[in-house]
Amino acid sequence: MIRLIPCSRGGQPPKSPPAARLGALAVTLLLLLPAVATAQSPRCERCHGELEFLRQQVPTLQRARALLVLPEVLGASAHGGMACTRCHRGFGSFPHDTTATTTTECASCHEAQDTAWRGGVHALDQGARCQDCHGVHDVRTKASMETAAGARATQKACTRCHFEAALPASDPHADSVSCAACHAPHRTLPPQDERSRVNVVNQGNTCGACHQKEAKAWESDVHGTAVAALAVPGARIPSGVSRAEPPACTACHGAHGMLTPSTPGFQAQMVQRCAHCHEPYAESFADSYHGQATTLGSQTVATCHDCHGAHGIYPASDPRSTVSPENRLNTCQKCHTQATASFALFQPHANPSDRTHYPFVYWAYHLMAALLIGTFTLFGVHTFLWLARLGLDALRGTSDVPKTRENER
Amino acid sequence: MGRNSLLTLALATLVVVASCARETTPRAETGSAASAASAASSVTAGSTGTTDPHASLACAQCHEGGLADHREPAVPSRACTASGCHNDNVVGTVRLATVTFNHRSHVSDSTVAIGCAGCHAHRAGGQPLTAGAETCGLCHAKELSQARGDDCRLCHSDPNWVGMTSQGVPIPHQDLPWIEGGCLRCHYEVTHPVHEVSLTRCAACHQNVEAVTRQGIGEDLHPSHTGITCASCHEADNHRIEAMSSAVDLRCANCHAGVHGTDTARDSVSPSTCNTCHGGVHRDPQRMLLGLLPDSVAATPSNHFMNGLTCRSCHRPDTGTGNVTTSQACVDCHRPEYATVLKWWQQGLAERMRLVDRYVAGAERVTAGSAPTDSAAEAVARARATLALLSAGGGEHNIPLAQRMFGDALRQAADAYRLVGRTAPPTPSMGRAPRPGLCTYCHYRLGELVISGQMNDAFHRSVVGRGG
Amino acid sequence: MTDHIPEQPLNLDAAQRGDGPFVWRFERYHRITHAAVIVSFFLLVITGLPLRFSHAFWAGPLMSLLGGVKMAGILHRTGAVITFLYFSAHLFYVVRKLVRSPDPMKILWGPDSLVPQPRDIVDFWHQTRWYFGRGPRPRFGRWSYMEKFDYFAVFWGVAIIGGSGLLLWFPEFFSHFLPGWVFNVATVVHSDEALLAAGFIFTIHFFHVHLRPEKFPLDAVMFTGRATRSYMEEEHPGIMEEVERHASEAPSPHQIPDTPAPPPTRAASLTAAALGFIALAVGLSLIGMILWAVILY
Repeated sequence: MIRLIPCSRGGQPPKSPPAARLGALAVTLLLLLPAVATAQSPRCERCHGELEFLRQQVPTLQRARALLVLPEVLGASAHGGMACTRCHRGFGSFPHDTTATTTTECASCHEAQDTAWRGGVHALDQGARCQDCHGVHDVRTKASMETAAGARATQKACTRCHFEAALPASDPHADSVSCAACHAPHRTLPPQDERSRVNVVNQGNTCGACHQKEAKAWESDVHGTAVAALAVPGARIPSGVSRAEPPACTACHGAHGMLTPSTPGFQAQMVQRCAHCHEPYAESFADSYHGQATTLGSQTVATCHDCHGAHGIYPASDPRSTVSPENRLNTCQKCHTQATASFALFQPHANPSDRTHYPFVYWAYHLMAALLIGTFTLFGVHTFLWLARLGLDALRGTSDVPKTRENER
Repeated sequence: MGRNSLLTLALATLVVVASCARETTPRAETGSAASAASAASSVTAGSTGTTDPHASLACAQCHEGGLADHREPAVPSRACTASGCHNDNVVGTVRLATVTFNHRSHVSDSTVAIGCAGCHAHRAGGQPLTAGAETCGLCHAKELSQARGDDCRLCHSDPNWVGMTSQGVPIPHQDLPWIEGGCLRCHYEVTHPVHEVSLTRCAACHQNVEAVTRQGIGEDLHPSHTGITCASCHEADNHRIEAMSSAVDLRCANCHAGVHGTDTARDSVSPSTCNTCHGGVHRDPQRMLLGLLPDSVAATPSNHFMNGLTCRSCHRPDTGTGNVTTSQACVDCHRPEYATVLKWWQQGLAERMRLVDRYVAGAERVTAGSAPTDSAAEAVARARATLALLSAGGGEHNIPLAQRMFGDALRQAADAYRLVGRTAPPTPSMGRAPRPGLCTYCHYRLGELVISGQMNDAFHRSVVGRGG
Repeated sequence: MTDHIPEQPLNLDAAQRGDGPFVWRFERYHRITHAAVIVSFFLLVITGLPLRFSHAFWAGPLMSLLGGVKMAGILHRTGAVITFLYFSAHLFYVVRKLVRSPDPMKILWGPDSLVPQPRDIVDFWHQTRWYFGRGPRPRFGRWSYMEKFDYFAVFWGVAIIGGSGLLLWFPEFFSHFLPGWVFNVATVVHSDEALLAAGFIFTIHFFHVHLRPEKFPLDAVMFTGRATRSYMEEEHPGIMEEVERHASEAPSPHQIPDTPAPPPTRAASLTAAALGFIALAVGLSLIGMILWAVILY
């Protein structure tokens, strides 16, 4: 018990230890009485909502900003209705307990997400923690994340680290699809990992979540079955299918920066992607009018998928194939409406060096080549000798055709 | 392809013909030469119309390596000092806004070799090669992001300007008591540019960013990147004042939103517009809070202010009492027992005001009849003005200053007595000047004050321990 | 053309060099047909080449310059229509000439005929001997074997390229009568024959007519229709008798071969030279592009 004597009465002040010189921060904190532990956010906002005040309590602006929690930001966040002490457990009293740890683990509420996160790459070395993606006090609600604006915000958060994966504006996903739509948001795994949602064996399901029709058609076609075979240990992999580039969705469409079919350049890009595995066919295609016009930027001529189908591609021997003898005419008629059965026998991939399969083309090509070589050789020599003769004559001064030349100067 | 190799053979003869015919086939220019030419012409084209004397120079005169294949064509400093363009003695000290900038210390004494082109750069389009204050942050961002209060003085070495608040209180920066280390009290939010270089910046020039950055990690990259401008890599974000203390830079609408109708656009008008009718209504309280009296005595700002509080910390529109301070404001930060402190302050101030006023009135009576220019009359007038300012400004805003002002008024009144040849009556007791650690700082009443009870909480223990 | 003021001959034009009055060599029909060939041929080559060498660096820019693949297709077919028109007109011309001529055999055989004859083999043999210094140059008649080759190369070329082109223009229609592989063959033939034609015209024809030292840089006889006596003596000594026979006649604007002609006006000469040089420049550029594409790709 201490009895205070007013100083104006001149009484002797009680003996005191030498007063410690304390900085402004200490004085402030001491002036503020211990507050009753409370979960009422407005009380916290008195200090943590005012940057000007916080700035005077800590040495750097960076630190002050970190301590700043704007009521309107917190209020709009997913944790808007929660008391501060729900996460900041040790900070209910004031002055704050100096031994209090910063936050409660998010896992105390979000256990499932935490478990998933611990199984993914982002947990390695704490590479990306909850707040690195979700923010701290501006944690978005699930509903807001699912909007187009939310998707873009997620892209922004991810590309802070994965800047090389940023989607260009031309990408159809750029505007409204979150990274998390394809990549597992919590248990994120590298694409090579067979458990990854973007691994080739899972792309059918991942992309198919939105593109059901395409995924379903692909599932049973040559590409889909080849990928399915990859997923089965020990299964025979169809010849020509590379383990490195199995024909799942991204093998043809690419991943980040894919093009929509209406984008200029889509056709040419797709031809290149097909050419990766089907090179001889790409070569003969490039020599055909379809291929030449595509190379030169035409959007209307037929490319690989116009004839062979995009999803649901089968060998020509399969009756389901768009280029099977049964369906071929129909396929041609998509563009050449007046095409006849004979028209459909045109060989778009004719190889002039293959005498067995394309004898007419072989002979036409070789005869024409002989004609060209013959003509140019004959006249080339003729021309060369003509020049040589005139040159020799001019050197010897015995030119017999100087008549018209005389007048030239 | 095999097909075309046949044709190669067939057409090889044509080459002979073409060359023999003394007629050369037009060939496309090589890519680099063509692109250099086009780049050169674009810069020149962009430069026309500006007054930049560099516009008339050939690009290669400064960009010694040429423009081809360089996204950041370098300019070595020797290109600026060569051929009598810029004598390196010419550049000296220049004043950039509030900063005195010394060229020499930056060029020769710097730990980082900054060439001329580091600050003086033009982007494509050919703006003049001026360098402004915004350039400083490119390098100093690193220091700025860790700046403490007194670090401002490193560049802003001579703050000799006088500011003016919207309420008409002059701020003579040179005289401010907290200027040493305290700039940040008012200029509490100063932008700190980001100093770390984003890897995307590397990608602007380097093809294989991944390899380049892996190689460059932990290395000082400055020596290998001279001649290009700092802003090529570092963020050209300005170092500037983002926000001023709201107790200095009063924004009318912060407290008086919607007073002239519901049109919210009116709320964004500048205080000078409001001042045409409501000029300086908060001038005196602001003087009290900032401790800036017209008497040119060194400023004594309020402790509350210096510790980060602003007008709205106590005058709270959200408490339903308008903007009038209630004791709730005290309790929100202090213990509930503090509810009475405000009342004590008000009572104590009123009591002292009554005593001092009576004393000054006595002095007025004895000097009545003398000319206003008379020194005694002047002294009394000064005492009266001090009291008027105190009562208009509110002593609660700055209790120690209020105590000093009472003392000043008494002294001036006593002087008046003496100047008319009278013996000054004894001045009333004002108690001891309150200061932290003294009970009257808070328990501010005249007369006997006995506080009994359990005061052994942590706060009072420390206060009493320091001499309460 | 009514301007008879004697003017300085245009030395750039080989057909205007040397002595002697001017002699008509080509009638108006020949010149108009040749002009139609030039226009349509350039149109066809410029619009067709980017497809043939679609991977060459110049193909894309050239195609966009032409207004895209679709526009190039329209231009190509326009060239085809011109070709079909002059080809039909020419067939009509030849038939009419044969029918009207009192002696049709003179058109099909003999010194004035374009049909290759044993004499051409002899000329070729003499030309070859001359190359090796074993004799004088052959004395060509109205048409040298080179000119006969040029004529029939175009005749054959138009038939082959035009026919295959027509097949590829209306494949749906022709597929009613023709099997599918015909279109494969037509593609190969159309493309290679066109390359042959372009390569031949822009090198061999250009050399023989314009660029060889005797004529360098230009021979505009096909544009103005007339040449000097010296030129005729040098290039076609075999028909000088015929020229002599008409020598005493007054110059006439009637463009009857071998008769004396008024000298071409300065304006006509300059126009002919300008057109000739433009055609030469474009043709040689195209050859450059072809070589670039063939050698590099």
